[in-house]
This record gives sequence, C-alpha cells and structure tokens, in this order.
Amino acid sequence: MTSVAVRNGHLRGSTWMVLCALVVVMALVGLMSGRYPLGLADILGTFSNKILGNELAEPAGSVIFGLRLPRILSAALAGAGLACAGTAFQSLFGNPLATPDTLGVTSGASVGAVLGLMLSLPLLGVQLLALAAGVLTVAVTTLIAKTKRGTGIVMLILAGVMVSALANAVISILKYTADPNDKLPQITYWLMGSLAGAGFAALWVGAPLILGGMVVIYLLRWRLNILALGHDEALAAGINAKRVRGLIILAATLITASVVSMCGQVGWIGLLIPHCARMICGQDNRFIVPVGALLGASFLIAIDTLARSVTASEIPISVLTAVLGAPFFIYLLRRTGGNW
Amino acid sequence: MPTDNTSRTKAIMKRILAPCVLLVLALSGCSAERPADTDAATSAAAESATITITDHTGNEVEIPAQIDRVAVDEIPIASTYLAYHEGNAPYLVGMSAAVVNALEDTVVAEMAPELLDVETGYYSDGELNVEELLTLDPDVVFYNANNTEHAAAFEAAGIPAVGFATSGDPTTVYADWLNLLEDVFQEPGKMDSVIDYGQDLIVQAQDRTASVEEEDQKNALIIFNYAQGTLRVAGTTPFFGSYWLQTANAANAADAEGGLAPVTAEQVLAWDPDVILIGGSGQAGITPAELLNGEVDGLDLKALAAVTDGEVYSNDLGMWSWFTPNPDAPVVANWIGAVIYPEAFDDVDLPQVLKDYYQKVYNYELTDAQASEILAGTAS
Repeated sequence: MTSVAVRNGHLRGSTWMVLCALVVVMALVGLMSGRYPLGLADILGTFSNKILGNELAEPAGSVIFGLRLPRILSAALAGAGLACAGTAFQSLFGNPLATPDTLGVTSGASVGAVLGLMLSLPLLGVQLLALAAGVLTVAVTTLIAKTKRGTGIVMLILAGVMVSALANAVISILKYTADPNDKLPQITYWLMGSLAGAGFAALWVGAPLILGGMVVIYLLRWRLNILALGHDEALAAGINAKRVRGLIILAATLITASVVSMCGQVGWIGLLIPHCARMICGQDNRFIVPVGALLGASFLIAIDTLARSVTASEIPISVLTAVLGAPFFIYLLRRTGGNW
Repeated sequence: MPTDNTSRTKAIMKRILAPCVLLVLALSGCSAERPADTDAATSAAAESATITITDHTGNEVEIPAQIDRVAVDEIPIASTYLAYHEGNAPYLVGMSAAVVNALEDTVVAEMAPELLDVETGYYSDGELNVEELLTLDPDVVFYNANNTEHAAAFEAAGIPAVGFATSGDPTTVYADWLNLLEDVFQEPGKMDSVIDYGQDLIVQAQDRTASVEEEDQKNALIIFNYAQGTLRVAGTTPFFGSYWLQTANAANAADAEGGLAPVTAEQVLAWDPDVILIGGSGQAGITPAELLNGEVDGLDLKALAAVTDGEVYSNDLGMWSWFTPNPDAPVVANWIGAVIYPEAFDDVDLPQVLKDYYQKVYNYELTDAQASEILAGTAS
C-alpha cells in the first residue's frame, strides 16, 4: 500500500518526523504559554541555568519546572497512552466504537478516586486508590465474562457495560452523601478531568505503568490485526488468541487506570485519536499504534495548554476534548466521507 | 410448549414478586414515630395565638406568638442568635450537624454549651429531611431566604419558616438579622444599642483607610478551598469577601469569572497578591502555616511575595468564618483593616476591641488567651 504516510509496508520517515515534530512543537508552545507572563528569554535562561546547575530565578524556576513541565509530560503520556489503549480495544473487540473505558476501568478508577477524596487522602493516596480500583474493576469484569467455554467478546463488552453502570451508581451515591461545601466541588471537578495536580510525584507512579503498557501494545501491534479478524481466524493463524488478548487487556487497563488516577476522566481521546490515525495511515495496526500515540500526545498537550492558559479559571479537560475534539472529528468524517 | 412456558413464567414472577412484597412490608413498618403528644392542651392554646411578620423574602409569615422551640436550617445564624439572647441560646432545639461540629472548637463551647446540645438528625448527609424535622415539633425554623426549595418544603410540612437574607454587605446584614429576630420574639428596639455600638466601630475602621487612593490599594486574594492542585478563589461575583475588601479599601487580586473560580498556582503567581486570606464556609483544605512553610501537597507557592513576606492569614475566626454575616462584623472591620494596612491600625489594640465587644454584645468576658485564640483562627 502506498499513501502519504506509508510506503512499502513501512511508515515513511517523513511521517515519523512530522509527527514527532508536532509533539515537540506542542510541548514548546505549552512551555511558553500560561497565565504567568514569561518571555522566551526567561525560559531559555531558566533552562540553561538548570543545565549549568546555577540558582534559578524565581518565580520563573517554579513556574517552568514545578508547574508547566510536569503538566506537559503528564499530558503527553496520558494522551499517548489513551490513544494506544483505544486502538488496542477497537481492534480487540472488532468495534470502532470501543474506547479504553469499555471494560469499566474509568468508572472503577473514579470510584477509587472519589473515595480517596472523601477520606481526604493526600494526592498520592487518591492516585493509588484510583489505580487499584480501576484494575480491580476490570478483573471483576473479566471474571463475570468468563464461562466454561472461554471468554466471549460480547460477554466481555456486556459485563463491562454492567460493571460500569454499577460503578457509576456507586459514584452517584458517594456524591450524594459528600459534604456539599467541601467535598462535592472537589469530586465534581476531579470527575471532569484536570492535570492541575500533576507533579513529578504523580508521574513517578503513573509513568512506568503507562510506558510499560504502551510497550506491550506496541510489541503486539501486528497481532492486533489478526485478532481483529476474529477468534477462529486468529487460532488458524497460529496465535494463542487467549493469551494475547489477556495481555492486551491487561496492558490497556494499566494504561487507562494510571491515566485516570493521574488526571481524572479524560473523554474522547481513546475514541477519536485512533480514528484520526486510521485516516492518516489506513487500517494496519502496525502503523495506527505509533501514529495514534504521537497524535494523542500532541492533542492532549494542546488541550491542557488551553485548559490552563485561556482563562484565569482552569477549564476541565473533558469539556475541552469534547468541545474541540468533536467538531474537528466531524469535519474529518465529512472530509473523508467515512472511507479510510 | 405453552404450558411449560406458562409455569416457568409463573415461577419467575413468584421469584420477583416475593422480595417486592417483603420490601413493601418492611417499609410500611418504618414510618417515623410521632412526636410525643404530652401537653397537647397547652400547646394547642399557645398555637391559637399567632402574629404575622415580614421576613427577608418579603413574604408575610404567620408564626406563633409564643416561641419555645426554634430549629435552624442551613444558615450560620448561631452567633447572631447568641448575640440576640445576650450570650445564651434559649429555645434552640435543632441545627445542622456541620454547624454544630464547626462550633465545637470555638468559644461557643464555653459561652453557651447549650447551643451545641441540640438535635442534628434532620440534617445529616447534607440533605434536609423535613419529616425528621417535624418530629422536633418546632414553633419556627430559620432558613436561608435564597433557599426557595427548602422554603417550599417547610410550607408543605406546615412549619412556620422565617427567611434570613444572606446576600449583601456583611457589615449591615448582621444588623438586619438582629432586627428580624426582634420581630420574631416581639421585642422591638432590643438590639438598638448593640447595633449602634457596632456601626460606630465599623465607621472608625473605614475612616482609617478611606484616604488610600485607588492606585495605592493593596491586592488581596481570598482562597476558599484547596484540593488536588486546584485552588478555589473568590472571583468577580460579589460575595461576602468582596464586601470586606471594599470595607478595608483593598482590591481583589482575582479577576476570574465566577464566585468560586478554580485556578492554578501559576495564575496566583501571575496575580501576585499583597495579602492572602484563607477560609470560607467549609473546610479550607490548607492553613496559613502550611502555605507559609511550603507543606501543601501539590502546591508550590514559595516564590510568591505574599508567602515570603508572611502575609497569609486565616479568616476562619470567631465562631464561624468571619466573612459570613455575623455580629462580630464590627471587630472584623478592624481586623481586616489591620491585616491589609497594618500601619493605619498600629494604634488599635485589637484584642482589647474584641474583649470589649464580646462583653457588650455577648455578655461574655473573654480571657486574654481566648481573645488571641480567636484572632489567630481555628485553622492555624
């Protein structure tokens, strides 16, 4: 297949370069934008002082290394991770509507986070509880879907829907009992997603799991093509479908639970970005996985930069991903006529 | 096989219906006990005499002429109630648990322990349960005049409800509350001397900073709450704190939209306020000491001038947040002036002002330790 992005069964070098440059440009724009006025000279000066080990001028040092850099890194990781997990689930379930949340991980992790907030746990405690609850929820989903004849895809999806519904009911009841002056605004705000709490401490917990999950999905990316054909075809192709599927679900779950525990519910990226990647490079998962990851990173860095710099009040991320992401996706859909 | 299907359907119906019936039976046994009907005759006689007053919603409310049982809805009126009754809390039967908890650690526990010894069951989990309130058999309930939903619930339950308006300048709202309490207890003019004394103190405080020109005004940032990396600050929508800044002739550092704007540390650095005031009506989530020592989880403001200069204060003072309407307002006017423009208040002995005021208004003699504790804030 020959296209703008792919030639002779490989992504063109130029495609790699453009996508990587996009991430770098977004990160630089992110570093330069924000409510605190910092010129390019301040930023370069602060970076060179950091590298040379000199004392940093305040508050420029705090703004760049304490506030903006951890947010940009978290956004890049979260965007890339969600795109990877979305791609994996869409192929695994052979369903273009699948998202990283299909098995209930987001709702489950949210229950953990809401509980953590209500117990007034520190940031790291909330993150760990969310992570654990997300993973546990998917474990429950897979257990429910398991029958004597194995685990069917439809069973998995239905179990995911049910477990999600249960988790959402738990969130509702927790919100209902939360202190309306104190806890409820925190919970509501957390559920809409934000990277405001992102710091290096959160990254140390989240980054290894997200990166690990992404590496697993990247290494298994060609098997995703075969799994998308169906169970029997995968067996005929000599793949241990059960084990590969389990590995991919585990990787995607760890990624999504880590992302949700770091920055709350971030909608749309896991659904939209894989489709955008398909528009660029076709249906081959070998290309969709890396292209989607790079696109996702760029997109979420851009969204988070807007969230923290457009108005004095922070704008919740999931609001922006929907308000900006949906029209852009509609435009792409109309442009391509749904053929990609 | 139709017969097979029918019997199967029946079996399923039985399995579903049986728990439903049990549930209905269980629920019907759960209705709350009626309030004790002792003294039915006397209460009937008292109920026959009613008076009509106009509350802050502008509505005419019919309340019993003889009030023996008062319940309080979600409104921080406890300290005003104490001031009205010269430091006592007679007739009070119920308040919200959150208010009682907040008052437990304050001077109220010493001044009027009976105020804390009230029913709180009708207001657990943040939601009003009117039936539970009915079991307390209140003669009148005081509520927030903006809360039309609760007003409707009280009306439906037949509880006479008097609405107190919370919006407006706290330097006058507390006086309106005291005047409305005069109407409720039919003691016109009882609070005149207390109100006059307080208004004089407020005017004195305002005079000290009135000459500060607009370009010389200091910027104050009011933080309501901090959680998970996001600060909630007082934005542009008028609220108690903005009136207090007007009283002190200071500017609001936050020009964010809304009343409780969520902002990041970077935005606070950009605003660079001269003074930071922490506290609202709920848990602030941070204390001045934590902010000054850089001990706040996920928030680094050590580069902020107000933090390096130590200009961070709590306004969770007195018996409640000092910014909300309360009879301490005349002391608050002096306190906030002294916090923002210390040089204009260097001849004011704030602890003495506070002690004199409590003696006059609450008929309570504060010790020096209590006075300094009130001025330091519960949060610090």
